[in-house]
This record gives sequence, C-alpha cells and structure tokens, in this order.
Amino acid sequence: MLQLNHVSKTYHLTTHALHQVSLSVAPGEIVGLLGENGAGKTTLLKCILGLLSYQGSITLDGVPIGRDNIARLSFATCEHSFFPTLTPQEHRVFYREHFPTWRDQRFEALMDFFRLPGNRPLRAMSVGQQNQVEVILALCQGADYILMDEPFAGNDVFNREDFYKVLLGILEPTETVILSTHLLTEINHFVSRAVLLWDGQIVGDVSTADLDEQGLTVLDYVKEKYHYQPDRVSSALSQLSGEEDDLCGNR
Amino acid sequence: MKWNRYLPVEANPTALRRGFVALTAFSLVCSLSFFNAYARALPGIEQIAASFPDVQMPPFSLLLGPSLYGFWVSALAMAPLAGYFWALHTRLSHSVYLMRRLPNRWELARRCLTVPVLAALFFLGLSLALWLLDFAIYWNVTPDRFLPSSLWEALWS
Repeated sequence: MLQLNHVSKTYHLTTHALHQVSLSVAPGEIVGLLGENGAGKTTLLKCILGLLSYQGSITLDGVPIGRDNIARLSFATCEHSFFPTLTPQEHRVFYREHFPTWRDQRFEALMDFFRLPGNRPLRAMSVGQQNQVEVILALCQGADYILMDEPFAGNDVFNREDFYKVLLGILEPTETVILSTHLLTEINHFVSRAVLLWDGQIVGDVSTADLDEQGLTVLDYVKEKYHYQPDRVSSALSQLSGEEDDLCGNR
Repeated sequence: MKWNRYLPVEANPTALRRGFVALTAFSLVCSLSFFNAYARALPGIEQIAASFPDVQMPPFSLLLGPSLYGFWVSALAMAPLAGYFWALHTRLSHSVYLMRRLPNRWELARRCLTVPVLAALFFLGLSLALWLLDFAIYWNVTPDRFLPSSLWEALWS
C-alpha cells in the first residue's frame, strides 16, 4: 500500500504546489491522477519518488520510501528519463544491472509489439517512439508501483489506444499504475479510480465503477468537480457577437 | 577495471582520454620552464662568481616560478568537469531522475565524481613529484659553493 499523509510542498517559500495531500493506493489499482496544468500532479509524483523534498510522510507498506524500497517504484515521464545517446538494448543492460526484478521477456515482447528498433539511439527516434520506450522501461523495471506523468504526450490516438490495451493485458494483479494525464476521455475504460487535484489539493477521489453506476464518465466527474459551466462558451460568444452587433449598429 | 563504470553513461571516453592527455602534456610543457630558468642561471652564476666570489644561486622558489601552475590549473579544471558530468544527466533528457532513483545511492556520485577527483589527485601528485625532482636537481647539480647554507634557505629565501 502506497500511503501519503498530509503531504505538502512549497516552492520558493510562497507557492503552495501541494497542500495536505493524503492518499492511499492499494496494490493492483490503476489510478488516474487528473487535474489542470499546475494542479500539482507532477509535483505529487516527484515527491513520491523522492525527487523533491516535501513535508508530511510517504510510505510504502508502512516503510518510508528510501534506497531499500525505491526499486519498487518506476517512473515514466514526458520529460524523459532515459539516456538519449543509448539504444533500447543498452538501456536493457543498464536496467538489468541495477534492477534485479527487471522483466526481460516483457521488454522483448513490448519492443516487438511496437516495432521499435532495438539498436537505434533514442535521440534518433521520433517523440512517439521515445515515449513508448520510456513507458516500456518503466513497465519492465519490475516495480510494484508504476508512476506515469503524461507519458503519451506526442503519441497519436491509435498508438495511445494500443498502449492502454496492452497495459491492461500485461499488468499483473499486484502491479499498480498511477497515471497523470489530461486525456480524460481516453482513460475512462483504463483506470479503476480517478483522483482529482485542484490547486494542490485533492478535490475528488472516486472509483470508475461508482461513476459507471451513476452513468457518469471521468470527464463528467471532472467537469462537475471543477464547477465547469457548459454555457460559458456560448454566453461568451453571444456576448462577443452582441458587442459586434452594437458596433455595427453604431456605424 | 572497466572505467566506463566510473563515467556518466553518456560520457565519451575517447574525448575524455584525449582531453586528459592534452592537459597532462600542457602541464609538462609548463614545467619545463624550471629547467630553462635553471639552465640559464647556473652558467650566469659561474661567470659572476669570477668577480664576486660570495655570489649564490637564486632561491629554488624563484627558479621554480610558474612552472607547476599547469598542473594546478589542470587539477582545478576537474571541478567544472564534474559539473559537466552532472549536466550530462539533464541535457536532452532528465536521466538524472533515473539515476536518483537507483537502489545504489552512490551510483550518480560515483559516475560524476570518481574520474575528476582521481584526475585532480593525479595532477597534484605529479606536481609534487616534479617539485621534488626539480629541487633534487637544484640541490644536487648546483655546486655547493653557490648553494645557500641551509635547505630551508635554499627553498624559500
């Protein structure tokens, strides 16, 4: 169980990126971490990984995250954490050396499935392919908790669909995914739980099964929590067109 | 020993080796200035001694001059090299995220610091060895009558 208790993060003494965030993620869950830009999604993932300092506590099965259990977490980020001059096969060697739980068969299968060139340096690949390798490395590290931060930014919709399907097919029951994304419509059938961040705080936490019962999608839920006004655009447009009419009338 | 294990994953060992050889050569060339100064001072003293029998060789520190600066500059250059090694992990991607979450706490430090620290020690060690060699030449080759009376005086007076 990944447990966050009253986690807060402040940048430059005044900017509160996270405020008293408490969250539990059980093994096997696929959690969508949702929210607008600047809501604190990336900061939250980086705090979990120990890449940022924070106030509060983050534990994995009751033990603070440190060198002894950090290998139980993997990370795929749109910023990319691979070595651009290395090939996927060279990454395989590096990961195998550092992570004893490395899943070699899964790596081979995913590389084959996405038809990725194993011996081409990553910097010579397209952004879409780079994203795929980034996610594949995170999936094959052998971690129990796989953290992903906008991993498919730059991939086309078919590619993303494929990835969601493959992910659902290969994940073992104990493997947990925390996926930060803006692609709300696409993750509806992929995530089992949606956690909504707003201004550094959790403002919504719901299982997709509950949403299904209510006949809602993740997008509906997010709109509701964000107090989205559906008539906002039409009223703005009518206001703009009204102004134009006035201007025309005045002429 | 596999040196690549002590370098950033994306470092270019060939370029580093060339840079290291260039710095060593530069330092050694700089160090020749002592021999030049000594080779000019000794005959001069012998000529002057004909008119002024009490004349002495200039102190060792004066002859040494900046001849070892090349080694010190090379040793100091290892600090920005360590910074460059760190920067390699944030250039083009954020591989520093991966390095920082490796189970081995010291992997990133080992890859960024080992070679610069060892190279700096190498340059400082070579500088010390050459200092001793230069002084040994000064003390043993110079005729006794031109040498200061004490070792300390020879070094610093």
